[in-house]
Amino acid sequence: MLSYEDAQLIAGLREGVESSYEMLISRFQQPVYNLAYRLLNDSGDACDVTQEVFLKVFRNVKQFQGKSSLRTWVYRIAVNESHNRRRWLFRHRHKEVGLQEDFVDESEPRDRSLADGARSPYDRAFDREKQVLLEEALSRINPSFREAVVLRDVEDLSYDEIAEILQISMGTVKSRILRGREALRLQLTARISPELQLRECL
Amino acid sequence: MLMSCRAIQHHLSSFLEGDLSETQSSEVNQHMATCGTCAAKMTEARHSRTRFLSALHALPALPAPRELATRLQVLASHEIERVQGRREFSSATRRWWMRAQISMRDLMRPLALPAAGGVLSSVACFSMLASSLTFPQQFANDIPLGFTTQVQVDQLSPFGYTGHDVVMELTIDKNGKVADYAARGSVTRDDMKQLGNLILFTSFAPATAFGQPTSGKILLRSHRINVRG
Repeated sequence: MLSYEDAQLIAGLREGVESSYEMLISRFQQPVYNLAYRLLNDSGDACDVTQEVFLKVFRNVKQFQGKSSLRTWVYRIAVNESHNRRRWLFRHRHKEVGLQEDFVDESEPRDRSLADGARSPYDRAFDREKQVLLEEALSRINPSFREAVVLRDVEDLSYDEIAEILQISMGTVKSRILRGREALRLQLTARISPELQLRECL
Repeated sequence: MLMSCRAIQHHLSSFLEGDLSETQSSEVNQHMATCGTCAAKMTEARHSRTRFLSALHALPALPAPRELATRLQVLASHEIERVQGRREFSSATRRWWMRAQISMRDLMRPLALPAAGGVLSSVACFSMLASSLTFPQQFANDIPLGFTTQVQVDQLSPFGYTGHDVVMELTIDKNGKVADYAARGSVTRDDMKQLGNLILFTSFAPATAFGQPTSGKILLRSHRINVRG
């Protein structure tokens, strides 16, 4: 199951080789952060979760038996950590006072990622609007559907991989994706119907 | 049997996801071939699905904050140190020793300055005052403490003794008085009388233990001294 490259990387991690650590971070930092962000919809939480994920990977690499690919393993940890985080937030968030209400941290990198000289500002604003709507809709659907949809449609993983990551059967994966998409569509249409002009884009 | 338009509507999304069985999807296809309305709806749904999925797919990757990269690097360097440290026993002991030294230093540093200051200032004060210090001492009439002294004869009787040689054991109480006596050797009645006088007119200093007078014993030997002439 393990590719040669992954096996080398894991051996390096077990030995404490610096370059292996760097490679792991450079390979997975962005995808893990992205996944966590999509599942939690908060930059700070996503950062914390990413850090937790890497800590778990470093600490548990000795026990990793290579039955699944490295990517699947890391994603599984990321999904589980995000899940735990969400549960923790559910229990604790209402006790917190929102200090960062008006602190829009993620707007800057998002604009940067959109920088595309060929598109008109109008198109960019349009895309931005679309993203915001999609993200809002994503954050509103059932977390277990969201996990499946994000892994499939945003992260572009195969059904097999998703089944391994979420540790559910193939049939459940398919049904979750299907129901997730349906729920997403419902959320979107519910949001958009008053704004008909946006329907075309979706 | 062909599916109704209603059934087709029901199966539309499953059909598009490729989630229908072969027979079911062939039925849907057959229906599409004959029913224009459903075919149009299907086309519309397929377009909508494609747009929806591509929109989802086009969600931009959010660049992770730079701070995260730093945090991960710090984490990795800690982990590398941990992994390497565990492998080498000597480096582990060295690390342990260094950590012990550091914690000892941390513990001592808040104490060291005040303690050293205190000791130095007390030494300075003492050396300044030492020359002016005097200790009034009186050695006269000092009672020797810490040991015992024997009974001593303070003043012998002015009367002589003319009897036979004799050894007497006298028990002296703490007031210096004779409590008992016993004579050894051949003692005559006359000798005894003389000895009685001797004892009566001799004064004793009582024995002491740790400065306190106690009872004690003393041996007296009396010789007859003949003086010629």
